[in-house]
Amino acid sequence: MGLGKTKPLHLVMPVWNRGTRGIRGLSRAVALEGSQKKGRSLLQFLADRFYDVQALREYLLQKQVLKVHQKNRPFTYIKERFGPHAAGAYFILKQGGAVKFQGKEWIRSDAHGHFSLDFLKFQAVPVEAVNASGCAINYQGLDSLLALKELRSLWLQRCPHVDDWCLGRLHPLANSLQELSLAGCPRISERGLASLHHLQNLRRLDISDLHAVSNPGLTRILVEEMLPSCQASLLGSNSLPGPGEVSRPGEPHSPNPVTSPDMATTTSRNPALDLSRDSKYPYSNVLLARFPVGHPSAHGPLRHPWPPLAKRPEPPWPPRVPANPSATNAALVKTGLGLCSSFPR
Amino acid sequence: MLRRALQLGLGRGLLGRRLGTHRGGSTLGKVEGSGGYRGSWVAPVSSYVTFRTRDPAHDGKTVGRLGEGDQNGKMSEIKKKIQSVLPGGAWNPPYDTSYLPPEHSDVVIVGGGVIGLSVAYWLKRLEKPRGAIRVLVVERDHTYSQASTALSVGGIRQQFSVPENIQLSLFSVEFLRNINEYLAVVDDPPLDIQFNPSGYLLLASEKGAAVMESNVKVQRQEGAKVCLMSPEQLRNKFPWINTEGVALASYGMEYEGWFDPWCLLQGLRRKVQSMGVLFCHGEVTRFVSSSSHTETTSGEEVTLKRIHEVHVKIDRSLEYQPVECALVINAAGAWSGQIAELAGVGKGPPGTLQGTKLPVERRKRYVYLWHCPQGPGLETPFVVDASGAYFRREGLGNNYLGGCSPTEEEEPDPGNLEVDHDFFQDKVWPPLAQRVPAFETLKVRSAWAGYYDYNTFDQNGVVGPHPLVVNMYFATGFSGHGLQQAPAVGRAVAEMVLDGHFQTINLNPFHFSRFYLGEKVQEHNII
Repeated sequence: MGLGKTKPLHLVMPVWNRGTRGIRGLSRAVALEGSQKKGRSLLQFLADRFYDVQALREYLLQKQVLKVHQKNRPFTYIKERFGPHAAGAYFILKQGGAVKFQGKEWIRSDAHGHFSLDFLKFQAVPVEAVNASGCAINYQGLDSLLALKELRSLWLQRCPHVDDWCLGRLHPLANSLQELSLAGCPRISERGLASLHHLQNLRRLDISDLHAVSNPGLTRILVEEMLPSCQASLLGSNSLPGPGEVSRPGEPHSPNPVTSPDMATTTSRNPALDLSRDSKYPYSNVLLARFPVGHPSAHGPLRHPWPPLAKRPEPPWPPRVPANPSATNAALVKTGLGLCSSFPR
Repeated sequence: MLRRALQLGLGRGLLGRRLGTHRGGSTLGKVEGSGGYRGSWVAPVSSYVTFRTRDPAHDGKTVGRLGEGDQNGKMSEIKKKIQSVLPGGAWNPPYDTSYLPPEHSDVVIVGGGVIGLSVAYWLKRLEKPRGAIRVLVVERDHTYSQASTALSVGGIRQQFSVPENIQLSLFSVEFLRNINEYLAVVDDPPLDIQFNPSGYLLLASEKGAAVMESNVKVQRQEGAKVCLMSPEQLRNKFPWINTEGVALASYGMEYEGWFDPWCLLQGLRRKVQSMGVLFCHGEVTRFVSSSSHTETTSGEEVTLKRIHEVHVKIDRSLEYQPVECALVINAAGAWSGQIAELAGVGKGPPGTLQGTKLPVERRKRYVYLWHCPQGPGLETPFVVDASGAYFRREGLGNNYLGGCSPTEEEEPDPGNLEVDHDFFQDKVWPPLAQRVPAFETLKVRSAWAGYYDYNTFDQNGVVGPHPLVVNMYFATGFSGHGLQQAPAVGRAVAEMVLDGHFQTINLNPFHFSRFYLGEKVQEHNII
């Protein structure tokens, strides 16, 4: 009967949780809406009673939102000085993603978030691929991406702030975009996927593991119908482990079918990305299988979906696994592939 | 012991959030064995109480007991102490008046639909010191069974011809996009507005093509993302459309689509409640006003009126409460004409400003939901045919929503909300089947009717104060696009109230005096 029986004290978002996870807090609330615990904490009680506490909590909530906005501010100076491609690349690298200029290597930031600014010299070279997986990119931040008119591949996997509204504004990329991955974005639903019909040049679309999609199988069929030129490489959720299974990262869901020698060299070169051996990442195997490394497609120099990474040491703080991880949260952190989830501020 | 004490406080915490005056310990306790004391209950301060449930299965069995196993009297003492320390009041009046509205309120908003709530939200948000204004929302139909908000199709578009309408809609779409920032309530789950970014597709015949072209020009100037399509482009993009008779089409690329009106309504309600707006389920039956005579510059004598009290009649009761107020906002939608009449708008010799009525009446519109297995797929936008018939996709299972506005002569009787199925057969189906051949075989699954707050003068909104009833403000008459403009209209009205002029969007053309002056703000191609 005592207070001990009430739920543990928590804000909607753990504000004191330093690092990027704080930014992702909002979306976590979205993803977990169904399983959100009913109950009133001491903070809630105090907020009900005292205006000061209520105002403080509202302020903290606003600050969370503001943080995301700040991360998505455009770099107008770079855009004016070096052109939209450099600005877009700078934006993505600042967010912790990776970019590939046409005919160049993948560029990404190192463990401390630093990256070389050599790419500012490539003024005339367009960006052809962007991997913004796990970044806190939102509707506003998409502005920088939409300026990349030659963009052929875009990975937005597990982006917590990419929602239906964002998909609705991808149409300026319709002429160039050939590959799009939206896997694991918690806020994308079938409503947003419907607006992808503008992207008529799309060849591959990954819409696996979208928790907000109410009817994955049907949605997949309808999307295939809508984009007839989009090849069978369209992934449906039914080929991937369900959300409940993903949350248990200890068990691999599919044996690693990738035996390409090219793949082997990649993994050996880059132990941080040794996905095939690490059973912590259940569906990375599936992804790699679906985006085979030596795929003889007409997509130019893009070889594999994951850019080669420098080995990144595990930072001591914040801890990789939260003390009491909720199901989807754990999946998000785990499948962050260690790229961005432990990105130090 | 402390835990127990706090628990008691928690129980009362719910009561502390009640509206209006508080009441005494007449409520029966609701006690649950495991979950702690939940729900609203008031324990009489005097002594221990043993709570018994009314459920015959548990009759006679003690379910919970205060101060169980404690020393006598200690619990109640502590409870007394806590009640005196905690805010929320320990005063127990002898009878329950919590359902009555307060006796004073700075602003009374008549109508708790999406427009009324939006006005309340922006008033509370733009007020300078926190909690400066007391706002009361009076809603007659608390289940929203007849409210236009809940019965709307939920579309949002920028394809208007009046720049103000485009600006309103653009502001609203921005509001909806950031709805979880605007309407965030601590501890409550985020809202899922269920926005479908599928766009609007307006079709124009040979005759309307020129108008459409000039409209699109205005829309682009205002910042809407609209593109024009030739019949051939249309055929390529949407092969299921029969382009016969179509000369031009305009298609919204962004910011257009449809959303869940109920979610917006509930989100606004939740937020507004957390900001301290008071609600009352009742009906406004009378305005008590004073009048003074003045002369205009041209020497005409006019009577200025000022509302002092609003009589709010309680639902299913003869009881009413006069609410003293400084401002009344008429956001009663389809019923706003009657509210205006109550305030004395339009009572005067015809042809004068005093005799100018608010030309807003309710009009019945049907919405049909049909199933068509061969119908257009996921890419289907909100299609509006040149004939006025419209449809949109609903969900994934090849279901479609649609309807058509009847002509002036065949307006149905708005007395009830019954659906005329012949109207679908005669007026809606033929043009749609002609436009989309797949619709030749379909099955109507269900249908409903809702009201438009139809402005018979020029089918556009009325925003701002009345020139003679000086403290009545209008936010009504949007003739079917009130839902999609509500967030912006709320802001405009709040700015008018707080600053005396519009700041974000200039809505002066929507002022009431246009009915007297005869200046129509007409929308070309109204849907």
